[in-house]
Amino acid sequence: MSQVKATELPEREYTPASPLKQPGQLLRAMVTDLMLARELGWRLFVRDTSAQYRQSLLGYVWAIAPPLVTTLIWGFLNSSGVLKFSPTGVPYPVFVLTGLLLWEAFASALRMPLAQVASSSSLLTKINFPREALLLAAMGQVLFVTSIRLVLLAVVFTWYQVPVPATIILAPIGFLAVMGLGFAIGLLLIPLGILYQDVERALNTGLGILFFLTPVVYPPPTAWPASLLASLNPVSAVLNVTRDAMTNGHLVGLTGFAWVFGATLFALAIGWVLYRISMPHMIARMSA
Amino acid sequence: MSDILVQVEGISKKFCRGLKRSLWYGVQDISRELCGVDSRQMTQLRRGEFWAIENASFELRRGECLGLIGPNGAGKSTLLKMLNGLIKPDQGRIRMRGRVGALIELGVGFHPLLTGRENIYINAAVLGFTKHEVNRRLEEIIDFAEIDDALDAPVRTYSSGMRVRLGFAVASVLETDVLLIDEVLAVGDIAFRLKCFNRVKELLSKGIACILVSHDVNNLSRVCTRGLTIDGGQVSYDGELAGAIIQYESSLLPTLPRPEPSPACPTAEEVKIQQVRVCNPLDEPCETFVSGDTVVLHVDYESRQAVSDSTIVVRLGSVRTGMLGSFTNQVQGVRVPLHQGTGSFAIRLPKIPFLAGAYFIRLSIYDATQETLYDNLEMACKFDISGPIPDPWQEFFTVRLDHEWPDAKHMAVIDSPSCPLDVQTERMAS
Repeated sequence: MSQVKATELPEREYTPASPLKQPGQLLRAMVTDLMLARELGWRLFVRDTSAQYRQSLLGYVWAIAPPLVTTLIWGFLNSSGVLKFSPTGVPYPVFVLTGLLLWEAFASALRMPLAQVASSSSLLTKINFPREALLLAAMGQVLFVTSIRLVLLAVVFTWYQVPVPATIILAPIGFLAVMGLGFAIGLLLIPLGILYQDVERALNTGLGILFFLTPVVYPPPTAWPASLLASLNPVSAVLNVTRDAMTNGHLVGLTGFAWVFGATLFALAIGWVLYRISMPHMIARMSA
Repeated sequence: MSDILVQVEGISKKFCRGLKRSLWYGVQDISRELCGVDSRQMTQLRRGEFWAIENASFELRRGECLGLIGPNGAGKSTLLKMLNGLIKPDQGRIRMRGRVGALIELGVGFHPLLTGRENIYINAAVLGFTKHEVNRRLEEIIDFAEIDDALDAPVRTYSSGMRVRLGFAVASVLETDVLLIDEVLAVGDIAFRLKCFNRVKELLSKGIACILVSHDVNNLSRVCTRGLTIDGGQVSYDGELAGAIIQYESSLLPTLPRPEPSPACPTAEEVKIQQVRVCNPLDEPCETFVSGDTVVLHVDYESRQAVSDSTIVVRLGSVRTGMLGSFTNQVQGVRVPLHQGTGSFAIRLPKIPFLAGAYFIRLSIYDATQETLYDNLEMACKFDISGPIPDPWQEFFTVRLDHEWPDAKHMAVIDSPSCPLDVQTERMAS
C-alpha cells in the first residue's frame, strides 16, 4: 500500500446535523453513491435472482406461472358467462394478460423496496455500503421478472394473431410509468415500514383491494359512478393508457397519464432523499 | 497532525430500551431531520432513554492498533457502528480518513445457496471493492482462507469456522486504510486466529489503523499498541494497553461472583479483620506494581482475647483467570499469635510472578486447628500489575514463568553435522 498523507485521503465526517442543511453536498453525495452502488446493486440482484431459482426444479417457470394461471381463470369466468364484461376490443385473454402483467409490475415495484430493505437488515446494521444498491437490486428484480413475462405475452399475442399497433413503441414508457409509480410509493413507505410491521400488512391487504378497484381484468367503466374507478385511480390512469397502446392503439387519457408520470418523478426524488435521511435512524432502531 | 486517520470529538449516542417507545422516537427523529431541525438541540434524554455512549473522544493514527475493552453493554459496538457511519451520533463529530473496512460480522452478505467463489465477489462488493480488484487478489484470498475443496460448494454446507475463514480472507486481503474488527475472530480455530493476528500486524506495518474489540484480553495484547476502556458508555481509560486492561479488570472486581460462606465450619466472633493494606517493601501504601516487585500485605485485626496461634489463609486471584493460588502460615510452620485489642501483621509476597492485570486477595483467619472460622474477607484488597506490557513473543498470559536456557554452544546437535551451529540452534528453537 502506498503511503499517502492522511490529509490527502478522502475524508468522511459524521455529525448530528441534518444533511438537508447543505443541499448541494447532499445532492453530490446522492449522485456519487448512486454511481458507486451500481456494481453492488448488480451483484445483489444476481445473487438474489440466481439463489431464488437455484433450489427449485421448475426455475423460471415460477415467474410466468402465476399470471398465466390467473389469466386462464379470468378467461374461464368470462367465457363461461359467470362474469360478463363489456367488449374489450381484443381477445379477452390478451386483454387480461396485458393488464395483469402491468398490474404485477406495479404491485411488485411497490412491494420490493420495503421487502429488500427489511431482508437486508443484517447487512445494513453491519456494513456501510452505498444504500442505493438495495434499491437498484430491487428495481432489477422487478424488471427481470417483468421481462420474462413479456416473453409469455409475446407468445399469447402470436397465438391469438393480434395485430400489433404502432403505438406499441410507447409501451416501454408505459411500463416505466407503472413501475415508477409503484416504486415511488414503496420508497416513501420504507422508513415507516421498517419501524412498524403494520405497513407491510396494510400493503398486502391494500393491494388486494386495489386490484379489484382498478380496471385490470375489466375494461374501464364509462358510466357514473363506476367511472370514478378509472378517473380517480392513478394506477388506472397509467395502466390503461399503456394497455391501450399495446393492444388496440386508441390513446385516450394522455393528460392523466402525464400528470401521474410527473407526480411519480417528484415522489421518487422525495422518496430517495427520505430514504437516505432516515437510514441511520432505521438502523439505530433495527435489531442487529 | 497529518497521520491521524480517525478523529472522534465528544460523541454521544442515546438509545431507548422499550421497543414501542424506541420505534416512536425513531419516527420523531426522522421527521425532525426532514424538517431540517438538527438533533443537535436534542441533548436531553427523553423518557426511557439512556446514553449508550457519552462524550467519547480519541484519535487514531497510522500504524496504531487500538484495543477497545469493556464489559457487555458498555457501548463498544455502538461506538464502532458510529465510526463506520451506520448510525449518527447525537452529539459531537467523527472524522474518518480513507477507506474504512469493517469486520463487524464476517461474511455478511454471504448467500447460503451460492458457492464460496460466488460469495467472494458478493462479499467484496458489499465491502466496496470492484470485480477487477477481486480478480487481481482472488488467488491470495483463496490461499488465505485454506478451504480449497469447499470453494465451489454452497456456503450453507460450510461450518461456522469455514465461513469466518472466507470472510476474514476477503476483508483482509483487500486494502483499507482503517480496519474495524468487532469480536469476529473468536470462532476460528487457534491456528487461524494466530494467522489473522499476524495478518493484522502486517497491515499495521503497512500503515493502516485498526480498532479491535474483544473480551479476550490475551488476544488483544498480541496486536494492540493502545487500549481504550469503555464502561457505562464513557471512556474510562485511553493509553497503554496494560492500563486499559487493568481499568477494565478493576471495574469487573465488584461484579465477580462471591462464594457462599461455607456452613461446614463453625464461626466465632472473637477476631475481626479490620482491613488489609497493600504496601511496597518500604511500607508505603501502593496499589500498582511491576512483575517481580515485592508486595507487602498489612493485615489489621481486632481481637477480644489473646490467641496463641491462628491460621491465616491467603488466596490470590486474577480477574481474567480466577483463583491462582492459596497458602497459609501453617505451610511453613509459622505461628501467628493474635494480641488482645488491635494488632497488625505483614505478609510479604516477594518477586510477584504475575503479568499485567488486576489481582485480588481473599483473606480468612481460622484458629490454629482450622476448626473455627474467625473472619473472612472475600475482597480483602486488590492490586494491579502494570507491566511489563505482555508481548506475545516474549512473555504472555498471566504468570511470569522462571526459566533457564543453556548457552548456545552447549545445545545438542542431533543430526546434520555439516550444518553451521547457529542454523542448527534456530531449527531447534522453531
